[in-house]
Amino acid sequence: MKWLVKPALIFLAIVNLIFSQPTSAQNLDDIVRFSDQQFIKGNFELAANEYNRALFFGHRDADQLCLKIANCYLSQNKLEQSALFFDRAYFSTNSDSIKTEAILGKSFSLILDKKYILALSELINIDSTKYSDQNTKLNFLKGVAYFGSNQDDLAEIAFKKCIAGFPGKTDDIEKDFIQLKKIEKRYNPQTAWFLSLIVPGAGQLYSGELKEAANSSALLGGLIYLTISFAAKYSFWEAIVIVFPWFQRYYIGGANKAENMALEKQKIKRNNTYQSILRTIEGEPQQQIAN
Amino acid sequence: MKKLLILALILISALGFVNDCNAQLTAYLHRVDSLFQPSEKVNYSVFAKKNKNEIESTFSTMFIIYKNFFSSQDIDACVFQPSCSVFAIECIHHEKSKITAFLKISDRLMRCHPLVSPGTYKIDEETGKFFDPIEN
Amino acid sequence: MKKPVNFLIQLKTKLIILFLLFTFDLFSQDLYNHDNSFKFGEYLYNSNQYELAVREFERCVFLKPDQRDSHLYLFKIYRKTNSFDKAIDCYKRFSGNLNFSEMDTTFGVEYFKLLVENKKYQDVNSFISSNSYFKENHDLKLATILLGKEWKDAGVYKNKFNNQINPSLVEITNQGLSLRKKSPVLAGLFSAIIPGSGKIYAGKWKDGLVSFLMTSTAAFMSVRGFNKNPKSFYPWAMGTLSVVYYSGNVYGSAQSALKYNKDKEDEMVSKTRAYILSDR
Repeated sequence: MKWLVKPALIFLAIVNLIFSQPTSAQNLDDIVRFSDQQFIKGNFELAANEYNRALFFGHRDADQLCLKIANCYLSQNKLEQSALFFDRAYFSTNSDSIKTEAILGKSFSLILDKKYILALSELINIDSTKYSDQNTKLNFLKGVAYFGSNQDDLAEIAFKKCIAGFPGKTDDIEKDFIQLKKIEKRYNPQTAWFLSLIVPGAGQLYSGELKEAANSSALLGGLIYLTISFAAKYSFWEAIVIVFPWFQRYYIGGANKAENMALEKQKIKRNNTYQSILRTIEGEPQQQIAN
Repeated sequence: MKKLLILALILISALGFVNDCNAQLTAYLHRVDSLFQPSEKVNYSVFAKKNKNEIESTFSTMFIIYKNFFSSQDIDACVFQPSCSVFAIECIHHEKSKITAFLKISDRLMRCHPLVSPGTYKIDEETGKFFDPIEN
Repeated sequence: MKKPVNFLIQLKTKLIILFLLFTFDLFSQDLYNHDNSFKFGEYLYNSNQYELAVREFERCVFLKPDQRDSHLYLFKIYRKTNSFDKAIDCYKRFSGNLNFSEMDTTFGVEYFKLLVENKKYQDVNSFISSNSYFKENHDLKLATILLGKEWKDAGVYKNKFNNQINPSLVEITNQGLSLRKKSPVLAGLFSAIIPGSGKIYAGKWKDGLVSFLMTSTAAFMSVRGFNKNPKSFYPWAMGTLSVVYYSGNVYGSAQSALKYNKDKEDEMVSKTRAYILSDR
């Protein structure tokens, strides 16, 4: 055995000599450490630059570097670049957890771009992961994407999964969604439209817009008066041809506006519900860290 | 011993990764905060601030009354962006000769019809209407 | 194994490790030196991360101010990120002056593109005629004439050097030569005689039809109102409306003719621009 040690070591040294690259690993690690520091400080552009350098000169963790670069761009709100690097991270790794992280990141940048359906098509590929924190994020993003694409039932399930294990909080979310359903029934755009067709201004009143209701009924009343006075002054047909189209236009317009008002009301309430859900979830991660 | 060391290293790095994620979820929450914020209503009284003389004041008052009490009840009829009324008030503010302004406005009113062939104007991405601003 | 051997191996390992460390030190290069920065900059440039690439090439310029390639990359980046002044500054730093007539071909092509991108067609013309490197470049010369909308001159130039010119430019020239402009005066006159006909002449028959219907309906209503009840407000309103429509239509027809000409010519110009700015 003794005779083998010496040549083996020399062989290793030679191999090392040949394969030692012009850049040392030590140097690259320093760069990554420096960029990590800059990322924490909030110098995202500098951090992205240095991560890119480490990536270009062959740092061994290409996948993690891509993730980090993507996060830099995400922090600068450069959503397209960030999605690109999340994709690169996904295709340059064998690790499941990094793959998941890349998908989560990409769908997050899609959600910030309000492309909820695209985000869902990414998220739907993963059911659940081994890591609890990734699961939390996954369900949270799913919740937001479903909520954004108006699939409230699925959103509710996802949000509940996101804070599974906190029964009180789950109940809160359930209450929020029950409330939301009630509100959507209360401000039904079709009802508002129909009401306005029967009695001009009624749809606006139904949506809680008193000023608009008065405006609409006054305008339409005026136009009816004009039609009648026109018919008296000139002829019935002249009134029908000249003034009545205007009445018709504002009559249909009023109904459409009433519909929009109901929709707008729904949007406001939806946003309130969403804020309430976020506040419910917000308590969780901090508690987890404390534990 | 070596194996133990490697295992410990892997564990430590994994822990670091986990810590990262938790910090991120809080960051996530703050960035998706304003996703469903309803858009604010346009306040047309800003046009009155550009008035330089009586003619412009008269027309911008008419414009504000029209926008608040008539246009607000109307169907979505105008095919252009900016709409004919906004185009008109901008024209009156922008054109030195009010006669040119009137000619431009009446020409615009006649161009605003549902038969406009696609490709004549650029499409405004936000509203999906034909983009036809006043020329500068 | 026996103890002494073990010890020996350990000693040797230490020595070897020392040796290895030494070799690493020998071979490890500074990642921030000129060559590495340049390579990295090229990578950033090719992956469209221009803002980051600027840092690298600026450092290259700082380290080796006489390397023209880093200057050229900086110039390209500033061109692509629409920073006209920075690009000009960059060239000034490189050459020490702003004498564009002595600009060499590689920089010259980039400068040409910069001017075209910023729509400074007048400067393009004077640049091409003053720079000795471009006197023989018939493609760019013809493109300059096309950008100035001088279709006839372009036709003459094309016939002179027909074989040495890129076919896509020849096609643009031919299209330019076959342009039929619409006269705004004629359009206005047409509309003054028959409302809407000027618009049809200017290529917008739907607009013409609508203006004809609107103007004539308003006029018809007004006349009818006057015949029935000349003292009321209504025929006066319709009369005013018809006058407003009529005059607006005359004005609009002339404008439409002008816009038609401008659109057609701009189409040629934008084709030429696309030809110049594409990465051939």
